[in-house]
Amino acid sequence: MNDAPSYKNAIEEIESIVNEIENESVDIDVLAQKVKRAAFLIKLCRKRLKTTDNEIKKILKEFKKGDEA
Amino acid sequence: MKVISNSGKLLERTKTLSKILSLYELNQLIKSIFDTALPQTFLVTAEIASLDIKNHCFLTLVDKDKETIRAEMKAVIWASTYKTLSVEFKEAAGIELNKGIKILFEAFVDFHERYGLKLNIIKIDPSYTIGELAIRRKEILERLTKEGLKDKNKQLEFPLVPQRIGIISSATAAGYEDLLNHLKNNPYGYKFHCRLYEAIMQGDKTEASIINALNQGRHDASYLDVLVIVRGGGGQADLHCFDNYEIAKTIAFLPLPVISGIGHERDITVVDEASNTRVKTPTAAADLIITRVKDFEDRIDSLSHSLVHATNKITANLKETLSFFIKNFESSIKKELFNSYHMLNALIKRLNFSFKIIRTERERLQSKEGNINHLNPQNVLKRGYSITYKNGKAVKSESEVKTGDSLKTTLYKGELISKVESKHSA
Repeated sequence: MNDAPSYKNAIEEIESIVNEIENESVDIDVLAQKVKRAAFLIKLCRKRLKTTDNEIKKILKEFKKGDEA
Repeated sequence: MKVISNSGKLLERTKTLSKILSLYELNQLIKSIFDTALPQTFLVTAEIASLDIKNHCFLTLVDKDKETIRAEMKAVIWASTYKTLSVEFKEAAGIELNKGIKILFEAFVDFHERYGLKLNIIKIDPSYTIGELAIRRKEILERLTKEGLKDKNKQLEFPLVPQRIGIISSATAAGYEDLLNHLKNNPYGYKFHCRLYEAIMQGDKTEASIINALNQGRHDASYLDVLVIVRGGGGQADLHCFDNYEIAKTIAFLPLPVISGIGHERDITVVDEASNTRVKTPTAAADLIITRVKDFEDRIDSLSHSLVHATNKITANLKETLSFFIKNFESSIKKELFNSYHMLNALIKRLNFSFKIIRTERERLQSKEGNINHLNPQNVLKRGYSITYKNGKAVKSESEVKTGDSLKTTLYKGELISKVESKHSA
């Protein structure tokens, strides 16, 4: 679980991304990337509240694969 | 029998009685002195140093000056008295009669031949104990405040998601089971990871045991989000164990926030005051934790909605802008095309007009050419006409020649030289 951001860091990052998008201060090119990141963090937080460590490790692996693809 | 004031005089008396007493007889003597001299009850304050219930309640009472014991005495509460007295005391004072508390009681001074000197307690005043406990609690709290320890644990930020819980309790405590069940069966499906640090929650070993458990929790602090102290289920027993300076001090220096769920209805103990948060029951502790996690989940949900909403807004804007540009573009293009078409048309018209003129001229030229051709002497000759020359000059009239002249006649093809034979006028 070391490479997973803490709840606090995750929610701060999500808030920051949402603020940027709401202020419309995001470049189109970067928009998709940021939305993807925020969606990932949201999914991770939600999952983590309700599951064991193993499932979280799985989610992290999936996401990394998606990035490399 | 006179009152004997010191042992010296006693010996003198026996000498004069010239009788050797058995121990029993001596004790009888002593007993009768006590019965006579101290027949009444006394109101006494003392601290309970030990308490043992074997049908009757046997106590050791002490009187301390600071930490030094300056007086000590055994006491008894006979079973029949103890039955009602203990219940009344507990209801009134909120705690049970136990080691460590101070009491104000009414007692006879009893000397028994067999069992020696004892105080026979017939009544206890709970408000004195309450007062004493309150005083002691107040003193401890003042000390903690002075040393800056009382609110230290409160300065720690209560975790955003308290998911890893260190529980300090006794494994058999109903409170511990309540807490675990509540967390495990929470209605939102949250997973909590709980670790028990066993401790004794009542009696004289409480202080050391709880401090030990707290320190184990400190050792595991990087794997935990919060510590919870829960106790009891039922009874009111031994709250005063939690009016403890050392436990509070340990809590003050912990790197984790402590939830105090000691489980009592009325008082706020020192441990309660020193903790980050206090709740009234173990169930309430579970609810506090679960609610905190729910708040976090709600925040995530809200952010998720905002994200979708904001992103949709941007893409909708983009789409609109794009379609606006496209429409604009279309109409501009159309305009341009129309203009060009128009210009082209005009040009074509002009060109057509020019062609017409050219054609007209050409026709005119052609007809002129035709005329010219028609009048071309060569074409005239072709038609059979000839030109007659006399001396190089074309002859137009018969008067220009005489008979016998030599004439040259140009034909379409060739020439003739001829002599005039005769001539006629027109």
